[in-house]
Amino acid sequence: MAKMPLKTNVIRLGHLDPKAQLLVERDGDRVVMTPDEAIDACLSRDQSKDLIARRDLFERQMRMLTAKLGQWIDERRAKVFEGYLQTRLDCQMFLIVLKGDEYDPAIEKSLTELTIDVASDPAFSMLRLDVQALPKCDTDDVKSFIDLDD
Amino acid sequence: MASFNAHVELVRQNTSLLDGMLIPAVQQHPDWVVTVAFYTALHMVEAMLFDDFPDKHTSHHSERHNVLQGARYSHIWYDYRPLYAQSRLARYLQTAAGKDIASFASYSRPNTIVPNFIDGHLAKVRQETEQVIRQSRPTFTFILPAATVPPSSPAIPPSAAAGS
Repeated sequence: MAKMPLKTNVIRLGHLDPKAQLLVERDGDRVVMTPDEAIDACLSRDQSKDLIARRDLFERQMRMLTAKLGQWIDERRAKVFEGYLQTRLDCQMFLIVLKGDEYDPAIEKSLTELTIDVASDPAFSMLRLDVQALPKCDTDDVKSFIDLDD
Repeated sequence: MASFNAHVELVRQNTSLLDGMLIPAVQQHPDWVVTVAFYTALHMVEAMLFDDFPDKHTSHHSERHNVLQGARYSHIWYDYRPLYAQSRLARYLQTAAGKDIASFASYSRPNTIVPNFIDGHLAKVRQETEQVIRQSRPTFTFILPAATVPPSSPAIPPSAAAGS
C-alpha cells in the first residue's frame, strides 16, 4: 500500500480499540465492522488491484503467444495438420499434430527454438512454453497429451 | 537425489542397460531405448546442476526445463528437449491395432533411434554436460572405460566364485 503523510484529521484505525465497532455507510448500505476488519478490507482492495493488473498482463501475453504460435503454424502449413494450446498450472502446452507419420527433425528443432524464444523474451515474462509434436493421429491420441474437455 | 555421485552412478547404470540390452533390441523396443536414453540425459543434467547450479537440484520437469532454457544452458536444451519429447511420446502415444494411426515405432522408426537419439542427442548432452562439470572436475567423464581382464588372468574356479 502506498505510504502517504498523515494529516492530523485522519482517523488512524490501528490506534482504535480493537473491539470498537465502525459503521460505514454508502448508497444506503450500512456495514458494521471492527477496525481490524476495515484494515483487512483496505489491504484486500490493494491486493485485488495487483491481481487484476497481473491478470491483464497474463491475458495480454497469452494473446501475443497465440498470435506467435498461429504464425508458426501458418509458416509450416505443409507439415502441420493442427495445433492446440492449453494453459496448465506450470506452463502453456503447445501441441501440434503433423500431417505425416514420421519424426521430423526440422520441426523438432523449430519447436525447441520456440521454447527458447518465449523463455528469453521479456514480453512473455509470465509464460513458460512446453511443446510436443505428434504424428498424424486421431483424437484419442491427442487426448493422451492434453485434456480436450478444458 | 542426495549427491553428484548418485546421479553419475545412475548415468552409468542406464548406459550399461542401453548398451548391453536395449540398443541390441532396438527393433523390438524402440520406446524403451528412447525412454532410458531420456532418463540418462536427465541424470547427466542433474549431475551438472549439482556442481554448477546454486540450488543444486531441480525437483520436477518444469523447473528443470526453466533452468535449461536460460542462457547458460540453452545449448544443452537443444539436445535435451527432443529426448524428453520422444520419451513422452513413447510413453503416451496409444497404439490401436487395426486403426490407421501412428504407433511410436512407425513415427520414430527403430533404425533411426540410435543415430538420432543415442549417437545424436544423448551423446551431445553428455558432451555438453561433461564440459560444464570439467570446470570444477577437470578429468571427469560419465562413462568409465570398460574394464579389461588381462589374458593371463587365471579363471576363478566355480566354487571360489560362489564364495564357498
